[in-house]
Amino acid sequence: MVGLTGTARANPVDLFGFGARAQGMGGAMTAATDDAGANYYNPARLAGSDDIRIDVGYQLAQPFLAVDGNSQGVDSSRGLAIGLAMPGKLAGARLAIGAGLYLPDQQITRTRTLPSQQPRWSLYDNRPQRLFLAANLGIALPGNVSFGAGISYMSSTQGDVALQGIVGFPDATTSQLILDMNVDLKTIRYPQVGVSWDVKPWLTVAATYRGGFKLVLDQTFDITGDIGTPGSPPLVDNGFLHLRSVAQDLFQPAQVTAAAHARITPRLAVAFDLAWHRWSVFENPAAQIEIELDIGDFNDLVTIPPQEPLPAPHFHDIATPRLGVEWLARATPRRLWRVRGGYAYEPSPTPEQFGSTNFIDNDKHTFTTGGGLELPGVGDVILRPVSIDISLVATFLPERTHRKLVAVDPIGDYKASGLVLGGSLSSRWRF
Amino acid sequence: MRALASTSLVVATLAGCGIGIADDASGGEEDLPTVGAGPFRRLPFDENSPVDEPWLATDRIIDFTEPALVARAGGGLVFYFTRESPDPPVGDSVIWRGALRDLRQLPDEPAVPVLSADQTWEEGHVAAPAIVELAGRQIMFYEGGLTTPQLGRAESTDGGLTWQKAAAPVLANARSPGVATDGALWIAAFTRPGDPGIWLARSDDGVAWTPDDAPILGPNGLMDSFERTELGAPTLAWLVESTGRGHWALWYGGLEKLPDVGDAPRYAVGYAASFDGMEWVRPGGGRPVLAAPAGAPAVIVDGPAATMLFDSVNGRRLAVGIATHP
Repeated sequence: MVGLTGTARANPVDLFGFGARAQGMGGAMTAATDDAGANYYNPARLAGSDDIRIDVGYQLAQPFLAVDGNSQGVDSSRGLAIGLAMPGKLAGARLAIGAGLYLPDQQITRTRTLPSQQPRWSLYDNRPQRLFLAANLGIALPGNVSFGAGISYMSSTQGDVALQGIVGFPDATTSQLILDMNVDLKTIRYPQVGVSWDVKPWLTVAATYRGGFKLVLDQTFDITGDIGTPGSPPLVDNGFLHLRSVAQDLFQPAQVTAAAHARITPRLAVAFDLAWHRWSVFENPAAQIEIELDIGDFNDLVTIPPQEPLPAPHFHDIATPRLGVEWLARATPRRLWRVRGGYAYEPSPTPEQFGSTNFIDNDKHTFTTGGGLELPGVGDVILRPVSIDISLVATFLPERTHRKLVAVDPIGDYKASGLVLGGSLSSRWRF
Repeated sequence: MRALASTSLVVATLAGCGIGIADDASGGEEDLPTVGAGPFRRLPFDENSPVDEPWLATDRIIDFTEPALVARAGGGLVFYFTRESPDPPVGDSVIWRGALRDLRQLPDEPAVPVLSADQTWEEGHVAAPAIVELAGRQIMFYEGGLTTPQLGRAESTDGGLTWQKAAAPVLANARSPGVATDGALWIAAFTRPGDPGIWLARSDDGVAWTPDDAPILGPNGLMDSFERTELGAPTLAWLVESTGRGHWALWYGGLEKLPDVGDAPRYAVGYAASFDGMEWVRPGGGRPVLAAPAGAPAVIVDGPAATMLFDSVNGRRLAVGIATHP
């Protein structure tokens, strides 16, 4: 029996960011976001403007990940990033509702199972291959403080398949089976809250909490019926096969971020985020499979081995610093040109893979750059500022060595390294 | 500038509708590392290839057994096997050599005899070659002798086309060798007549050998285990992994039960490994790396892939087949 492993974790926005301005600043956006990207980075920042803001962009990340120098052909992540912020007032307080959407253009979500021991890039496999959707509310409070909260959504299926009737033997084509399939769409919601405080006109501090979740895929398959030739006495009366597979399919660690954004000069701003990710509660995602079989007198011919216990993955919590810089390079009455740069360091939550598991991941050094052009409007149609932003991202995964404890390990020692290149093009519209 | 803004919006929208620039295959499953511990699968039959998959060498009246396998300079594989005609006397086998560029193609160097029994101690029988590649030369260890099997040694400097035998056997009371070296230590794995286990002998130069006092692996005696009753025909390799660390890898035939009279034994291929050549471990779960019927494995590991030759009954005769991993 082969243990099967679901490998989807977190979401593409966690991995590659949301929007070109954010990407260009290394993702250090918790205190610096001022657009619809606040739907991901900090819902408290939604309340910072009186404009309706719509962001539309496209972003792409292409991993080049290798094990022992052989490319693993890990899929790209690409899709449309859309954000919306709608301001308003309630009892004199300024507030805004917002929504953020990352829509992959390959699949809404991808779930696949792999053999338990099969090496896979844990954080780049299914993790970037899913939709991100969040709805938020931000409100400005007295004392230059704003608060925001929202819900992110994720869905998956859970299903049972049952077959009843006669299983044809020896000619399977004579089977007479009735199919009963029951599939539910399960929704998972997890919270995010944020707070932002403009301590000084030039300094903002902020903090966020993003909830974690895990999605369990529970599927059963049943066949119940006689085995034999229809019209003849059956070889087996009321035989049945029951198979159930339970696997942790999606996982996102809880995240807490503290941040600051300092506008050091009228032209230069620096942003810093420090995020804590609770990976230590990550469970081995291999499927627990239970099989029951009753084929009467033939039971002795079949041996179903018990499933071996799943080894603990031993992931650990990580702290990720992010630094971003934004410089107003040129300002004219009709053009604002900005240049951005950033750096992020994300240590790997996975330990060295010396046992039977092969959850490959490396430390990540991300260097970003980007630029933006802000216009006062577009002709006579859009009278509020319009921004065009672009970013380029390079994430380096330095070589990491995994040495197995036992010589008989079927994978053996290996080295893993990689590079992820990406970029984004966004437009920001205000009304 | 209005055009620029409008264009960016259109581009982003169209891109989001599915105009991508990368392929849509499920990635991340290519070229995974392996040490050849399987599972192996027999080469599936392909009606469009000229090969009778999974068979490399098969015939209606001739037995092909106990293969060996080495990489060929410039690409492809060089294979050896034992060929025995049905004509008497029994055991008058010869070692043949061939080469092929592609597992799905016929050998571009058809198999020809390269080593025959011409020494007294060989008793008209040479079989079960094991090849060790060294710089500019190859060393073959082989089984000779019927009543008192021993291991012989031969050397080739032309890629295995011709061989010069040592004057005397190098190891007595031994058969079906598998030999490898890590550059300093040589290890020979072999079986002994009447003994169900696998033995080792060690050498500093590949010439003078000292056998261990006890077998390193024996049948496990477990009910329903593929290696319950007997182990046989080992092959050995020294594999250096990408980290620079090496280990000894051992493949062998495992027999669950002795065959009925007149039947061929149904071996399955098992696997064991050792970092130091002293402590050997088998995988948990007790499963073979290639299901029965398959014995006398010969394995070559090349990056993320491994190729195995094995012998098995095909019809009424023994034949050499091909299996691969992954």
